[in-house]
Amino acid sequence: MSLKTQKLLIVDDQDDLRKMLRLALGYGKYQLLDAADGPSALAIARAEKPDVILLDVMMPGGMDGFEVCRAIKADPELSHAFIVMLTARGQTSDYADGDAAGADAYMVKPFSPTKLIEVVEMRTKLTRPIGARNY
Amino acid sequence: MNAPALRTKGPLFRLTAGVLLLAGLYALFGWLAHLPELIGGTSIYAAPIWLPAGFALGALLVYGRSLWPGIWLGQFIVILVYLLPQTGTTQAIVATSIIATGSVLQALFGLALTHRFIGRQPALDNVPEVLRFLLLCGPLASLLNATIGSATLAVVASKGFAGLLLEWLSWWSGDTIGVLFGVPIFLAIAGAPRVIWRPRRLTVGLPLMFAAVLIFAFFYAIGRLEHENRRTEFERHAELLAHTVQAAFASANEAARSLADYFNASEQVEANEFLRFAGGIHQRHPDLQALEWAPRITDAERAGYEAGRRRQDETYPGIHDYGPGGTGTPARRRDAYFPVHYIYPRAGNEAAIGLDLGSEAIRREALEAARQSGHLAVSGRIQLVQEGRQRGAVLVIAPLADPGRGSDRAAGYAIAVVRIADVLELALKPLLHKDVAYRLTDLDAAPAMRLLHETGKVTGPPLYGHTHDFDFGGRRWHLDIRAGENYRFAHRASYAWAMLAGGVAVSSLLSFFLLVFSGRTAHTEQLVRERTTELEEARAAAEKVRQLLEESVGSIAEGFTIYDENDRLVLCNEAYKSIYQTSRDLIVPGNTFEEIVRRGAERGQYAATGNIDAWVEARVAQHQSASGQRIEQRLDDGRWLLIVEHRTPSGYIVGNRIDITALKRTAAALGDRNAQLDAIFQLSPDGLVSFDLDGRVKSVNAAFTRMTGLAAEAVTGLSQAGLERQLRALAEQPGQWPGLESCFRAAKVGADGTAPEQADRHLLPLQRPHAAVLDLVGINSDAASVSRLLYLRDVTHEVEVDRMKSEFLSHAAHELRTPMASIFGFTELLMHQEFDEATRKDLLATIYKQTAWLVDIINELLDLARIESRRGKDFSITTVALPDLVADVLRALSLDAERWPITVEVADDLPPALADAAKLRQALTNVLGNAAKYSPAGGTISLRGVTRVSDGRLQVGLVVSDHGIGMTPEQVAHVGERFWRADTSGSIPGTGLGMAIVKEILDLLGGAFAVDSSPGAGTTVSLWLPVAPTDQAPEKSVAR
Repeated sequence: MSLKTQKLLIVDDQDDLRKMLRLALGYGKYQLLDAADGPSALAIARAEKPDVILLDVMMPGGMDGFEVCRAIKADPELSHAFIVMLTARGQTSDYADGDAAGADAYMVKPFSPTKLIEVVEMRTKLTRPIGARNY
Repeated sequence: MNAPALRTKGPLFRLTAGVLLLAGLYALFGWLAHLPELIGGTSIYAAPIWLPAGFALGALLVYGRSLWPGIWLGQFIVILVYLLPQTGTTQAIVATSIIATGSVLQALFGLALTHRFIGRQPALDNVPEVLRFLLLCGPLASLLNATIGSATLAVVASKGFAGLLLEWLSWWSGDTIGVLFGVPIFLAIAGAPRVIWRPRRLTVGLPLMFAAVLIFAFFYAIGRLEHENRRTEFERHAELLAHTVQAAFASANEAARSLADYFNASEQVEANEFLRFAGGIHQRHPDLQALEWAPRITDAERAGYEAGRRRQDETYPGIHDYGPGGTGTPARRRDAYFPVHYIYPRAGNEAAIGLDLGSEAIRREALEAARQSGHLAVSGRIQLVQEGRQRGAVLVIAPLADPGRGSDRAAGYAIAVVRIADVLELALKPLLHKDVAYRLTDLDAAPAMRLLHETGKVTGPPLYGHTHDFDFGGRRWHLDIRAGENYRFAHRASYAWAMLAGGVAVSSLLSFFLLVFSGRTAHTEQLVRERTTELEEARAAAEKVRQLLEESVGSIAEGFTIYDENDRLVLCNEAYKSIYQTSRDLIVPGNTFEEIVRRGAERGQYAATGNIDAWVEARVAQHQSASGQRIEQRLDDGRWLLIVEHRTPSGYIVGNRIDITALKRTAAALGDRNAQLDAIFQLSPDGLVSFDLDGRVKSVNAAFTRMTGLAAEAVTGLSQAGLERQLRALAEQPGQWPGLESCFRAAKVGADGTAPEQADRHLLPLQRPHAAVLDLVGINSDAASVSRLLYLRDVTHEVEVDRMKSEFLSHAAHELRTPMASIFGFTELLMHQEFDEATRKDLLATIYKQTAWLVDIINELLDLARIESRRGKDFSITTVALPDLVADVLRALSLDAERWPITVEVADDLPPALADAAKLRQALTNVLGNAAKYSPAGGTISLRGVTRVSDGRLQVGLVVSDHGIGMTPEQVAHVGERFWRADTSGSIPGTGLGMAIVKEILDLLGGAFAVDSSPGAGTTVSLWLPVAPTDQAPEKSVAR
């Protein structure tokens, strides 16, 4: 891992949540990017090629998180990105959907920002979604 | 003999008793065989059947050879009794012992032959055995004692050869017949094996006993007849013989008289004259010993006479006396002498010349008798001087008259000398027979001198006798002729032989046939007995079976009958009689079915017979063509019978009758229930498909058709696969439906008839005939005609509700979690990080905002939950004046009037609604809020109060129209769903519960709500409420 600043893309339709995540992850290690909906998230990702993407599942704009995740993982230039799915649904079927879409981790709202940081920091070691165990 | 009684004693006692009994039996039957003789009957056949010989052999065969002393003893007694009178004691005992021993030997010989050639226990029931027995034990063995016995008897009784032969034959045939009869008789009484012999007591023993008596009597009668014939024959012979003898003597008389006449007629008879004359006479009577002339010479004339004679004959001995030794001494002196002067023939008679006939008493007496009578006289028996002592003779004396001296003194005598033996033998020559004796006596003579002649000898006591008395020269002569038993044998012996041989032959045949036939009969009888025993056993078994059958049949609760091939009742049980109580008296074995049925019908036993003749005919035809078909018969008393009749292979008709009245009633009840079930089946809101035992669709109900659009006719008879194809064609996603079989795998009817809970539902989403979801439940059935049941339930609504619930939960979670995420996150950040005051305030403000939002959501959720859970029970329905209410709402809502100017057209005379004012206010608030929210760019919102008539009822409505973003028709359809939001961009805040609450409230108020919208043009929402009754005064103020 290079010491150069990594890019972290925050995708959520909620302004307050984006603000919270920026605040939590803005400790200097990451160059923070954000998007409020799927299509813009994809566009930013293609442009910036982020290392980590925090991706909300339920978003307006005709493209939900899973679709965005699938699109990113399908793109050879972007597929290396570590994608953490953020969802408020927390249902079993969502984990399966996340797996199917190629997500690397899964966090259920509300989640602990500290926990999220740990997940993002230890991303290479994570192979399974963390799920609701983050409480 | 009584064997069982004997066995109880010791062996020696038994043997002794056996011996004595056998001896007694032997002697008894031996005595019986001789009985006719002993009581004086005379027959030429003595003891023609000697049964003791047979009994002897039989006894040895049955009880063993150790009984032989009995034979010896028995025979000894019999023969001794027979022989003793005939011969000397010693001789008799010796002979009897020999004969007895012979009998024993013969019996032992027969026993040995039997054992060797026939067997230890001769059954004598087949031809070869009987033939061997008849040949060996009869004729062959009997040779032994016949020979010994007859020889012994011949020696003792000195019989002739003919007699011996006949005796032998008689003995042999007697023993043979005795054995041929006696052995079977004895064996029939006591022989083994008893199975064979016992029945022969009647078939063999008795006939043979009878035959023995018959043959015995026959022989006796024949012998007796023959005996009489012989006697007659003998008499004839004897008489002839007597007359011959008399005639012969009479001729001597004649000769003497002729000579006398000659002398009387002549003055002087010279010697040569005498010789010539006497020679002539002698020639005619050659049986005369001599002819003599004896003159009367006085004592005075003696010397001259003797001298004269000597002159003529120098050898003249002179007058001499009769004396011992023949030639006597010169005669002593007496008054007169009667010397033999001439004699012819001289040769052989010389000694008589000169003999003074008066010198001997017998001669002198005869001379004196002739002189006194002047006629012929015959002397007693004299001994001729010219012969030895043995031969007797008599003199026939004819007196010559002396002319000068009257009749007291004869001048001389003419004499014929008759030697009796010569005369008799000459006379009897052609009449001599064997075993005949003659005796000629002179009855006038002194006892010692009576016997004149005796010839022949008779063996044994004479059988026949004949006597003849005749006068001979003044004397009474007596001829006695006797014949011994050999006389008859010598005569016609072949006849006797033939008779005896015939007797043996007849006995053999009789014995043979009786034994053979009785043997066969015994065999047959034994066979018959065995068969009879088998039959008895079989019959007993059959009887047992029949009894068992009867008992079994009796114990059957059903009416049971058997009719025979002529349709007559053979057997029935009590149950049958009880069923047909009315015709009970007719149900009697032997009565025909038709009789029983017809009489029963006439008595009104059966229901609905109609024309009795026709009914009976039909019933009988049914009965007689019985082949197991089930016939139901109704009786007049309302009972129902099930009749099953069979014709058995033997032609009998077996019938069963069961009272099925209860069954019938049950069936009727069942029919009712079936009808009910059918109705339920058809009326059931759930679809039902039943499959028959072949797995084909049996029936479907109306609900099925309603759900699937498949008509009953279209699916009935389809296989399960066929039905599955039909359903699959209707499915929303045909490829994803696993098919019917999986439904059945899941469930089976439980023991209590209930279907167990299914773990999984088998849902079939249909596309046609209309979108619906069916829940399929398959049940495997054990019912008689249904193998499977398919139960289809329309769960479209249920599924939808489920989906909605699930979605609601999902939405609710999402809506709750989203603000929580911000709150949680910021709070944690605030806790762990230091922020400057401005940021901290901003963060807290955000937390506050999100918390408020969260509270809103929770409140709305709780509202909705309350409304739903209470279902309007907490509603306070009153008459609500709408203008007031609208005003209240608008005031409370206080929308930005510039952005969303509101035009209100609610007339004061609008009919008041019947509603819960608070709830209605909430609903209107939500609608107005939405109208504002979904007009982000702003725009006029109009609110109108209207009325309409729906379903004949007046409704009052509040119509809110905006000019917002509007909705597509698809979106319109979702309005009222929880958490469903027309805006998914997130730019318009909202919980997605507002319209849901509106819908709930209006539903509960009995109103309705309608949405009309088009994208970009705006949306119109109408709230319809029931109108309050007019007589009710409208309330101005509504309680909150």
